[in-house]
Amino acid sequence: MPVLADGAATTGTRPAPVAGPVGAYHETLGQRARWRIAHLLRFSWMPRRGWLIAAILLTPALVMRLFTSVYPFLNTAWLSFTDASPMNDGTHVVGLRNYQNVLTGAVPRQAIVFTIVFALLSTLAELGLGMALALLLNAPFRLRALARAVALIPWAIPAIVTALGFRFMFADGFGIIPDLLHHVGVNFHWLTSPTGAKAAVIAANVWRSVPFIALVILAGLQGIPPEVHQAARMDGAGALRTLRSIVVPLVAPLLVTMGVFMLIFQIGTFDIILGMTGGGPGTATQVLSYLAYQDAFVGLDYGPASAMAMLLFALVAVVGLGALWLFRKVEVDL
Amino acid sequence: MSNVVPADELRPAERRRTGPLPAGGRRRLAGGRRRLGAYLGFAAFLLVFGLPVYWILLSSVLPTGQLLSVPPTYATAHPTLDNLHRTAQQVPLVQYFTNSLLFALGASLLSVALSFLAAYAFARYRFRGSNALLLLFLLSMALPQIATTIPLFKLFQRLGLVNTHLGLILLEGSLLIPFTVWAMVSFVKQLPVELEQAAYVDGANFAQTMWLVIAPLLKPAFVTMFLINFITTWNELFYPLVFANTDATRPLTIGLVQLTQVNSGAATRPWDLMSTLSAFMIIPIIAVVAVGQRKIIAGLSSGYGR
Repeated sequence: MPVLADGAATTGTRPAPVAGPVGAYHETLGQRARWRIAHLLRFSWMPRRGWLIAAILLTPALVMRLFTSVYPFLNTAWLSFTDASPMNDGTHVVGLRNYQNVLTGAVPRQAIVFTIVFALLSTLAELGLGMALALLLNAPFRLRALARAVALIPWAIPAIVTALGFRFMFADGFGIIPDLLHHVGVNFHWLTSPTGAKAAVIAANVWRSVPFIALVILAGLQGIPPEVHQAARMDGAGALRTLRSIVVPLVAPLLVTMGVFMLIFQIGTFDIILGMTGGGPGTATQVLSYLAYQDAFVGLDYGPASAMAMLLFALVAVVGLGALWLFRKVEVDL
Repeated sequence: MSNVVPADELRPAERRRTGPLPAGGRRRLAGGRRRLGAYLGFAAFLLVFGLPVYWILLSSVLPTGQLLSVPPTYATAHPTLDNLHRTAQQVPLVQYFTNSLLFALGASLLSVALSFLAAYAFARYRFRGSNALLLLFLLSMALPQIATTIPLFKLFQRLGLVNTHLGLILLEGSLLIPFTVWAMVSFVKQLPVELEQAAYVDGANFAQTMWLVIAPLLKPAFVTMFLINFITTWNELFYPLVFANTDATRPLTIGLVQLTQVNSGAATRPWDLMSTLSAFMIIPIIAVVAVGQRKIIAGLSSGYGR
């Protein structure tokens, strides 16, 4: 809390350049600019009340979020009850018809199911493999720094590049994955069969997120004091027992938060589907967000697209509410 | 001299640690086996997570004849830059690269600046509803992009912001704010309040304290969040797909999507151009990761890991 009243003395003086034993003190350009700005700030106003400062600091971010998130979301909710389209002259309220069409249509229903399957399977696989990878990266061995840099790369490269890369690798004929599997006696069509395509998009998505999750869990693992491990060993616990009774419970809150984050993000998955299958073959890998995008910006049908977007939001809300219940159970404090 | 430990004090502890000789030998063997396991696991990890990246990079330098060969080509002794030449003829590479750079720089600077102010307020001032507001900020991150895009598109059309760099930067900057605020709050909380109190006692006003005391101390946090947001924006696909429909605004991600739509049918897709453009996109990112990995990991774990 600021303790001084308006008009208090200001720091108009800057430290005099110090002549050191070696040579004169040189101001860098950045330092000079910093002091120039500080000089200008000399007369700036000093709000007396904390809440006023908070309000001023929060306003820009809040305004941005209001205009790009809150208002458009409410408007989407409204559009989902209308037949809005850039092709129509007027917009009419059609009640629940959009929802009815979405929930009874074969393609949207399939998309809803696959959205849920995709998010659930991806998240479960990511948490399991992420935990395993975190334990591996936590083992003391040389090249650990290299391992961490490598682990960041799948997170850091664009999802669309990952999607195209995997599409290339899964392709029949010239793809590397069918070829490698062929050598061990497995022959399978990945992107041209519905089941194969579903497995392939989930695999690519898991590949993308596992190392990132592992890095976050790793940070948690390193927060466990070594004394805990020593105590466990003193009590005669083996590696597996330590893992099950000590390490997993200690990082459980982290696993739960990460699981919720990943579920919510992956319910809205878009890039991987667009890049890898475009929803195909047929509509086997169609997901809600890609279908809604196509309806809105290719089909120019805002009403049904908004209804699908709201259903997507409903899924996120269900996960969120479930998460609040789970958080209370495993005592994550937000 | 204070760091010299008397030999007598050191020895008993050491003897206790190693124990009798045979047991020590056995333990060393077990440790060796465990280390071997770690290296094997690490090799598998490198293979699984390095191979796709290697594959993309390799495909971008393979001659066309080898690119789609059956069985696939696993390595080449004759890398070629032909693909890059052909890509540059078909895709306005320099223009798209500039667009990506402007988009990523603008959005990450905007989001870091605004998030710093908001995070400072959340970290230092408790007012009625401050926790609820922070939660609301976080919740707005969970909103799927598609659930806001249609009205945003109509709004931006009316404001003339579709197909402009400014429009894209505002959208992405805003999208990045919740996570940046969330991660930044913990960075601000790590600074002792006494620093600000001392500045006020010395007669600095609020703006000066922020500028001369807080901002310099948070420089590592700024760099961290800037790097994370830069990478996220560089990779952003959805907003540009809807809001950038001119060559003057399209980033590289959209260039890639355009290439996938050149032809239908798997064999006729321009894989040479796609892999080259992919490599062109990920090489700068890999460089950024190599330089800033420590900071990025710190930022990600302070954001997600709590």
